Amino acid sequence: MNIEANRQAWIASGEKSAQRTAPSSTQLIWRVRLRIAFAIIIASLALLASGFCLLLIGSGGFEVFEILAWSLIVATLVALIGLVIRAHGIRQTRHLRVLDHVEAGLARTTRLETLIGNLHWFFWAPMLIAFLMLAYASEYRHWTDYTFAATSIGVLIWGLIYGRDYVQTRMQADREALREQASRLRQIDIEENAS
Amino acid sequence: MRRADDVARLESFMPAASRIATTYAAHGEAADLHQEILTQLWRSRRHFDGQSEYATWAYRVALNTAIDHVRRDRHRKTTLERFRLLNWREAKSGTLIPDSVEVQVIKAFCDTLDVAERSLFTLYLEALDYARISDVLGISSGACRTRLSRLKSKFKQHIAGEDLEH
Repeated sequence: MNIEANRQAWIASGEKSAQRTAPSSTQLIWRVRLRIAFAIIIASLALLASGFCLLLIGSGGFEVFEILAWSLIVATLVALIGLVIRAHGIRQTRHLRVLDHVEAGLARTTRLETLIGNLHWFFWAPMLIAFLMLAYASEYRHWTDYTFAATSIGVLIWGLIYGRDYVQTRMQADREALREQASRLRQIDIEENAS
Repeated sequence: MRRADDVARLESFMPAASRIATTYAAHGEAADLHQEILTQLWRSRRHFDGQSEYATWAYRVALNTAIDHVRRDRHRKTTLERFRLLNWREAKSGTLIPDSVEVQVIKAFCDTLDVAERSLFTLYLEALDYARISDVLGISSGACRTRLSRLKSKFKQHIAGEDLEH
């Protein structure tokens, strides 16, 4: 066995496995279209749902405080989505050189980590204010309203603590892996310069 | 016309995409990664500006997709669980075909390499010259040459070890 024989077998294996596993170009194009269509449907549904909720609030005879509180909640959520999109970056980097792609991924993960680390400023604080406003506005309501509000707040806090912890752990693992990949690629260059 | 060209170029890259998927994914997962690479190539086609050869550009997309796959994969199930599940699925569908000895030797060798070395070695197997490897990876061609020379020696030792075992 020698290197060239292995390489030739390797090249031949690609031809065979491509025939077995590659989808036809029509299937592939439709798969990409379906992915895009799915993303558009989800985004449209989210927009419709938020618009519908705002309409309900507006037409439901709510008090000014409640309208303000719900507007604050919706605005906070929209701002959060905007910040995540901004930190993540819309531009694809897959077509860049491998080292550039890994470094772009590292920068993106660091930005997202910072964003999650500062979540209390632009998410917790406005949400807390909104819930306090809701509690104030529901002064003359039935006790079930308070129970519902307390349960919602509890679930939200639990979700945020657990979810944030989970996302941060993943982000940290991602950052470490990306840093290692980037440093291994850079190391090849550094070794060459040193030698 | 443009679309027909895109399809033809993509189809010409399918075997190389399959080989890269085989290097980076567990045996049962290579088909999924192969399809993901092709999907990303189709989605990114507008970023191809024609400044480099299509294959050079496609190797970048393929390697970046494969490297991302390796990183994301660590978050999912344990390797053993995934291997069992996928082998069962592929054995059932009849797509699991054993590799030749030479390909098994290459895969076993690639498993001992880190992501950077694996990318370098994969591109060498694909018969890319140093300038193109440098263009795909973003490191100097001199560095590619030095590291590849070491990798080839290491691979020779690996083959010798395999021959002794058999």
